[in-house]
Amino acid sequence: MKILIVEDEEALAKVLEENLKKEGFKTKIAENGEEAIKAASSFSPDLMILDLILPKKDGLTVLSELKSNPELKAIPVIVLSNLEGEESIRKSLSLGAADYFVKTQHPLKEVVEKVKTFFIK
Amino acid sequence: MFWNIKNKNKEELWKSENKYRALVESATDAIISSDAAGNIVDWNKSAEKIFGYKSEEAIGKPLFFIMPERFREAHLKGMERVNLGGERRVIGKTIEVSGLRKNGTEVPIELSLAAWEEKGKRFYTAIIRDITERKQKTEDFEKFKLAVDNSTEHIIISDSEGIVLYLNEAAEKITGFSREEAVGKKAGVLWGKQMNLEFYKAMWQKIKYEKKPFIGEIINKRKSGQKYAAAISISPILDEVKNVKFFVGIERDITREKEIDKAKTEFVSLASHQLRTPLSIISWYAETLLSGDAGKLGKRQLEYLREIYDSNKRMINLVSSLLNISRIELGTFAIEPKITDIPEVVEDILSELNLQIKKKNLDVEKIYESLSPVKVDRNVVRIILQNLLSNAVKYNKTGGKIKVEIKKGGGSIFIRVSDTGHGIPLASSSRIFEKLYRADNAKEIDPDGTGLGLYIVKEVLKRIGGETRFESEEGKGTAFYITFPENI
Repeated sequence: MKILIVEDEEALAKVLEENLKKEGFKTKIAENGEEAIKAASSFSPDLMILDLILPKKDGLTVLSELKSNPELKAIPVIVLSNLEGEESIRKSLSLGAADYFVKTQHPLKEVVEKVKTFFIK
Repeated sequence: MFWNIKNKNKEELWKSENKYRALVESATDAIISSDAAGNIVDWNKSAEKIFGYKSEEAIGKPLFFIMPERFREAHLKGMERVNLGGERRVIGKTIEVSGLRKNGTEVPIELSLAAWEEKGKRFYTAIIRDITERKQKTEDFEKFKLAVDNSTEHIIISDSEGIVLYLNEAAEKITGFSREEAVGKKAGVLWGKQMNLEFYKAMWQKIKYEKKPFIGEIINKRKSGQKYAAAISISPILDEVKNVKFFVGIERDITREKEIDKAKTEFVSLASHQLRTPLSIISWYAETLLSGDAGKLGKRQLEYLREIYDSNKRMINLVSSLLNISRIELGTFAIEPKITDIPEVVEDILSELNLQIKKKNLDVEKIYESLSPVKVDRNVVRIILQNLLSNAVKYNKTGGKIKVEIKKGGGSIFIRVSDTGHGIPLASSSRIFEKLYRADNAKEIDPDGTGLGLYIVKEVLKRIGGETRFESEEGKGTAFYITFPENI
């Protein structure tokens, strides 16, 4: 099971990656929006964890490009952001994000548990 | 026949003399006559009153003795000139001069002078009015007018329909309309219409129907189209029967203050967002360490790490509060109602507070009545309950009680959160919803509090049309009552 972590903050990406690896997931980190789109094709993840504020291409753009690409749109996306406004939550969900987490409001464990639910079914 | 006529004339003359006397004596103005030499020959009651001399003291004295020294020379020269047939500068005119009273003080007077002749002799009669009061009034009026004209606040006077009667220089300057352009037109049409209808409705309700001053902040438009922010206070001026005579509006330009405020708030917003990344890094690493995933930790290591984690959590909450405040103050606090299960929100918050609840051994009672999910802004409900519940925990006593009651009815949601804690001192009760205000006992119990929580509660409630109030007894506990409409 492969997970693509799109996160420009190295420390956050790393702790997320380690916690996911421990659960048995294969992971890859993309540090910006452009890399995220490329990796979505080359790495073909089963799930994407996506930050919103990113260099080169922001998260919402990545999300909309992904969802309008017939080959990539099936990849479920969990948005993991510092933005907690209803506006960005609504936009993300309407663009097709499967869930939305505010980094500071949720323990890492909750995020990992959420990821696991995608692979139980 | 001739005799008769003569006698009749005498009689009539006598009658008319009497009439004249009566008139002169009852006049409220001083009536003083002098002969050509300027010696007083007639002095009425009012002259006595104004100058303080009895008639017997005055008659025979020269006129100049009721004049201040500085006028005397001109008076004597003038009389001489007129008596020699020269130019009459004062006769037939009304002038304002000063008189000299018996007691040596001066009195401002208005003087009308007439010259007349009888049997070849010339006489002068002066009608003199004491204008002390009038002068005082004029001076007062001038003073007030100067103050209003030159005030740096914008002052506008309108009639009861809002038609401009006056605006001062500052108002001309800020609105861009000159007095000539503005007077006679509706203030609302000239520079208004920038706020929503509700605002103006509330304003007119207050000043015209409740007849009370309206105080608020408003956006107006200059003649050039540019907008400005102003702090205004409009007061109705009422007549004897309590009808609105006119309105006085005093405005102060606060555009610059608003800009500074906005810049400050934007800075807080930006800084808070920037703070969140390191805060989540600390939080997640501490969490990973605490879980033992990075190796087993000793008891003290765990204890210290828990402190780090908790403090970090506190900082996260503070940043959240700051962000909420900057959203409220920037007007970007979005309200998005969606179907929300309020008890679920309560449970969520209680589980976050579980550690502190257990530490204080608190008993939490929950009463939910006829509560199907309702359409409200989940975020707002969360903010309100989070603040009230965490206060109920924080300011409770060990072994105390917390009661959460939620019910629905008549299109409204009612929430009551009560505790058996330290209570709010009476002296603080009127201020606890103020930003950054903290009650004295709250500062003692929890020195780290921010004084932001209840302010946020009040402000977010305002945005969903809700209200809050509380009952409290120091040492016994507090109950907060929240009401807000569902489906907004």
